[in-house]
Amino acid sequence: MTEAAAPIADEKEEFDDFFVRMLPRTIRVARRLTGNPWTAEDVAVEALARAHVRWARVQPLPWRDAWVLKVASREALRHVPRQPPAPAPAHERDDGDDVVLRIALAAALVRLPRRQRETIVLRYLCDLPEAEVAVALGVSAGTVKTHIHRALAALRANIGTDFEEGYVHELPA
Amino acid sequence: MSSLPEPTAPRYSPTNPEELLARAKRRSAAIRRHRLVGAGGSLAVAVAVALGGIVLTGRAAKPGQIVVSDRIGAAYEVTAEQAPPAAPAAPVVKGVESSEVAFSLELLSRLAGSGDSNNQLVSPSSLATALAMLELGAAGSTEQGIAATLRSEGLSASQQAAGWHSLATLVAAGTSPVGTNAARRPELDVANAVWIQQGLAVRSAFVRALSSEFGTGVWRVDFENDLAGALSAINQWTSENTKGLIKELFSPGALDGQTRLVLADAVFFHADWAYQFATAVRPEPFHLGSGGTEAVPFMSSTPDSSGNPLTVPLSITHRYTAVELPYVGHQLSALVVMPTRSSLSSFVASLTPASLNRLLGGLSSRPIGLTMPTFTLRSDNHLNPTLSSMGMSAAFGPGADFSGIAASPPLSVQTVEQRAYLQVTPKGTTAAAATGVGVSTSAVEVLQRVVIDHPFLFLVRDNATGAILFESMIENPAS
Repeated sequence: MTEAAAPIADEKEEFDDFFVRMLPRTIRVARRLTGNPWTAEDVAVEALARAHVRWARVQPLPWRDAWVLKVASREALRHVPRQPPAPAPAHERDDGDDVVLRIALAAALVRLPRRQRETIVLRYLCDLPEAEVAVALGVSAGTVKTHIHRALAALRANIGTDFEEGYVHELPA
Repeated sequence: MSSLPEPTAPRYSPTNPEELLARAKRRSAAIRRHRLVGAGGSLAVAVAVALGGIVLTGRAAKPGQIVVSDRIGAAYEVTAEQAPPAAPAAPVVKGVESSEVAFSLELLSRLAGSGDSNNQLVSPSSLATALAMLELGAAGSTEQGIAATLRSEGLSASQQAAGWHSLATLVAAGTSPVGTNAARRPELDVANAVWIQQGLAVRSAFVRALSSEFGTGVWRVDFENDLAGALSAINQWTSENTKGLIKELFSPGALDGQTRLVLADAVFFHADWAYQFATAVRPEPFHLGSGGTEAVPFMSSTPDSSGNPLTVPLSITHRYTAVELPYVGHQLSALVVMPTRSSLSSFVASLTPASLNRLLGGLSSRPIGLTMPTFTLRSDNHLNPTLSSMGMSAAFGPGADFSGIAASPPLSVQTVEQRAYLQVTPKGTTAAAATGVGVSTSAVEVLQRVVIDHPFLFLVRDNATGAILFESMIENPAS
C-alpha cells in the first residue's frame, strides 16, 4: 500500500510547479479524511493557497511538502463531525462499513491531542517516513515514535482495531 | 418555453488542475486581503518604502519589517506588519453608503447623456473605490473636486477611506470565500493594488492608508524603462482578480514612460438566482428604444417543485415596472426597472437617491410570471471626460495637487478607464428553487405578468447597505 516516493522538492521550485506536484497528493489525503471529492478539492486549494500566501517563507523549507499536507489535514478534519457513527459489529460488516470506519477514524483523530493527530496524519495518511515527520513537526524521531504509540493506543480504545486492517497500514506491532 | 431539466445527483469529475491553481491564487489574494482588512491582531499591511530593508529570504518577518510577498514578472509586491485601523463611526459608514448611491446614479446619468442610445455598463463601487484611494493622496482643490465627484463633500478623505473599508466588509459579509466549491452564496471578490514607479519616493502615510483601509497591495514596477513589463504585470493581476473576464486594464497608449503610479481596483461577482428560470426555445422580440424590434433570447420564471410561482418584490406604476430578483442568500439582488412612458436615458437622468428609495419602498412581494432577456455586455469606458464634468477636472490638469502621494515630481491624473463585463443568464440551481419562497405564496392570487421587453435598467445591489455594485442600461440586449 505504500505509495511511490514523491519527487524530491527542488530547492528553487516555483509555486506553480509545487502546486502541480502536490495537488494530487493533497487531494488524496483530504479525500481520505473527508470522503468527499469536492470537499477534498476545496481543502487542497485552501492548503495550497495558504502556502501561496506565505510562499516566500514556505518555499525554502525542506519540509514544505509536509507543511502543506499538515495544513490540508487540519483543514480536512474541520469538515469531519466530532461525534462518530457507531461501528457495526464485526460479523455484520459490509461495504458501507468502510465509510463508517473512515468517519469514525476521522472523528477519533479530531479528538486526539494536536501533536499526536499531526503525527498520525503525516505518518499514515500522508505516508511520510518517520524522519520527515520529525523534521516537519520539529521534534526528534523518538518523539514521533512516542506520539504514534500513544495515538494508536487512543484510537484502538476509541474505535477498536478495525481501522488497522484496511485504512491505516504499516502499523507497528 | 422549455422547462429546466430535473435535478440529478452530481457526479464527481476532477477539476482541471489549472482551474484549481487559479482558484488557489484567488483564494491566496483573498486571504491576504482578509488579513489586511480583518479586525484584530497584527495584520500584514503593505507599505511602500525604499528598497533598502526589504527581506528577500523566506524567514518570518518581524513587526515593521518589509518583505517581498509576491511577484508577477518583473513586478514585486512588498508587505510589512502593521496594526489594524480603528473602525469608523456609524455616521461615517452611513455617509459613505449614501455617497455611493448618489455617485452611482449621477455616473450612470452622465454616461447615458454622453452618447446615443447605446447600452451602458459600469461598476460604480469599483470606480468609487479607485477614486477614494486617489483622494487619499490629493490636497486642496484637487481633493475637494474628487470629493465633490464622489458626492462625499462632508467627509474627509480619511473618513471616506475608513467608511469604504467598513462598507466593503459589510457587503462581503454574506458572500462565499473565493476559491471554494461551496457556491451556494454569492461570490464577491474585491482587490485593490497600487503600482508604483521604482525610485519614486511615495509618502509612507499615503501607502499605509491605502493598505490599511483598502487592503491595497503595493507593487513596484518600472514604467520608465520597462513599460511592457509593468503593463503585463498589471494585466495579469487584473485577469487573476476577475477570473480572466477582463484581461487588459488599460487601452493601448493610455500609460507611457511618464506614468509614475497606477491605482487599480478589480471586482469579481457571481451569484445564482434564488429562483430558477427557463430559457425560451426561440428568440422573442425586444422593443428597441429607437423603434423597431430585435429578436433576443428570453428567460422566464418557472414554478418551484411545489408548483408555486415566482414571488418577488414588484412595483408597477404609470412610470415604470420594477422587479427585484434576489440572489441565493438574499443579501444581494438585481433591481430591474423598465420605464413605461419615458425613454430609458431620460428616466435614468431623473433618478435620484430619494426617487430610488421611493421606488424601492413601493416594492411588495407578489407572485409573478416574469419574462426578461438574457444578455452579455462588455464595456470599455474612458472616464476622463465624465469625471471632469462631475467635478474633478482639477485632478487632470497641470495644477493638480497630489502632494499627499509624493513631494515631487508634480503629479496629475493621466487616465481613468474601466472595463466591465456583465452576463445575465437563467442559471438558477435546483437548490435555489428549494429556498421555499413558495411557502408565502397565496394560491388564490392571480399571477401578474411582467415582461421586460423594452429598454430597462439593471442594478446589482447590496440590500442592507444599498451599495450598487454594477449598473447597466439595456437598450438592446442583442448588441
